[in-house]
Amino acid sequence: MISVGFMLPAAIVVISLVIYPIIKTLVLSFQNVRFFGAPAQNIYFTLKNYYKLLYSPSFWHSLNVTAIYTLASVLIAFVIGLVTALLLNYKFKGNRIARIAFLLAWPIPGVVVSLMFVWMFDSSFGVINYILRSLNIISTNLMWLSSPKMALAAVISATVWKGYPFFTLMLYAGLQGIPKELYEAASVDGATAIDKFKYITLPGLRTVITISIILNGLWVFRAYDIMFVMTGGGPARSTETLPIKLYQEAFQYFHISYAAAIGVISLIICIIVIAISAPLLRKEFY
Amino acid sequence: MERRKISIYILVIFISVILVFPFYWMLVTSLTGRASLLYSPQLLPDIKEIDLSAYFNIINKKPIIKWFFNSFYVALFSTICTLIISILAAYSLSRYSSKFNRLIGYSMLIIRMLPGTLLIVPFYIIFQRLGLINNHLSLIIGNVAFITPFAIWMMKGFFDGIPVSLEEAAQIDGCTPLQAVWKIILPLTAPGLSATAIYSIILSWSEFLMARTFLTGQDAWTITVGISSLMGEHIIIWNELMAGGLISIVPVIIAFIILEKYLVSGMTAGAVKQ
Repeated sequence: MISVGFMLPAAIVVISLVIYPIIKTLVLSFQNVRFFGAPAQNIYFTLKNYYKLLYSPSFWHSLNVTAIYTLASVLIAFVIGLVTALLLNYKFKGNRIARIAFLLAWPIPGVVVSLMFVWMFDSSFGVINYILRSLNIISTNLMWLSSPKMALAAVISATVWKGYPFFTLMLYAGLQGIPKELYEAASVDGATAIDKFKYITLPGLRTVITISIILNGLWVFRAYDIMFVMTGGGPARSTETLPIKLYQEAFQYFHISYAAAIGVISLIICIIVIAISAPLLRKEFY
Repeated sequence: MERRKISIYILVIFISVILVFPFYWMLVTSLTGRASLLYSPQLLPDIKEIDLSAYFNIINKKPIIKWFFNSFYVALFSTICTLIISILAAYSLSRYSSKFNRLIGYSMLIIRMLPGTLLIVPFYIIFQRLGLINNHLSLIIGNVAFITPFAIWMMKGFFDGIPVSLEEAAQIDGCTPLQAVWKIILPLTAPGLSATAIYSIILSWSEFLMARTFLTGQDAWTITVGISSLMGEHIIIWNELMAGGLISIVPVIIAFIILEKYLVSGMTAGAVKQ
């Protein structure tokens, strides 16, 4: 009795704010709704949106940009997270301060991260161009956010900076779970630090690595804040990821059903990823 | 071994400097005079040249304080509602494992993985029908929808750490199940509650997509929408923008520093259990 009663508020939240909206989006994607508040009765069902989507080069372009953005952001953030987690794993004075420093990027809103990075990547007055010129890596200022080729790199940097603390935290927790005796035994057997890393650390972290990469990957795939504030999808749509495209189609062009179709495709991609990783996640969460 | 420690210290300091640099640069820029912004950047500014005018200017020009309190108000109520719903649900999931429970549990997991942009369209339709556009209530409800799954997971972990025998002992002593929860269990989960609350505050504070879509009037904006609007202007006054940005993150940084030790211990406890 208590079990059901206590679950009820959460169940109401789930049904009204998750199940119903998903169904609504699904239904919308098969219709032809062109503005908010259209009456529901006289709308017929059609596959038009999905045809339009599959034959639209801009959709595939967005998918491509999203894939590059997600892969690059996740992998770079992972490496930084791993290095910082390994460092934090050593007992040294000031470990707590180092931990705060390493994780400080985590609670910062995506909007503020974008702020910081737009300023740092500013072509004329930005500090990144200044540092690159001072180190003689470049001779003239790079047009980071106004150049289609460089804009994605700038956004990836911002995303990596906001995203790596998640890996630091997860991998650090994972490292705590590896018994110290394994390292000691390996030392006795004459293993080098690299050997220990390859044969003890990495296998011990395998589950955490998989889960954190999947979770972070899903987060970056869905990410909207940083991209929207830094580039808005430009220049020349070079940073137009699926979430940006969806928002534009819905709230700028009012192609609500088309946007819903994009949403359904995004959802399917997420579900495929979740389905592949479900056995791993279930063990961790419930 | 000494040499190893030194190289670790050097590496830690070097990496910290790089990773903390965006904060540092934001601070330095906010303290730079408007004219000095046009000069070449100085990595180590003159103490004598520090200029606080950016802070006064931004507060006077834009309703930054109002936005700040809007964010605070939304974060507070989102957190309260989320906590109530998730404590109940997490307790239920922790103590009873029925099919219904686990179904809701898995649905919660799925919410965590859905694209925000997917749900924004139906949410907008729902809130428009309810007349809640440009009303903070829509944002609070939306926040609760997105934060509850995280909160349930966190609280469940903390509840799992408390043995059922405590409640049973309380009930033997004459408490009803509800009293047992209220008097015995909740006080014990105080650290977990604080951690979940602060986590929820941080997430509500960062919320941008829904805030921007549902809040149409400038006075209703939360700090995230407000700050992003400053970036859309033709002429951007960077020191003021940085000052505004810094003001907007002070609460979350404080919240994070308090939360940080719970985050780590909470996660490592989970890891050790395996």
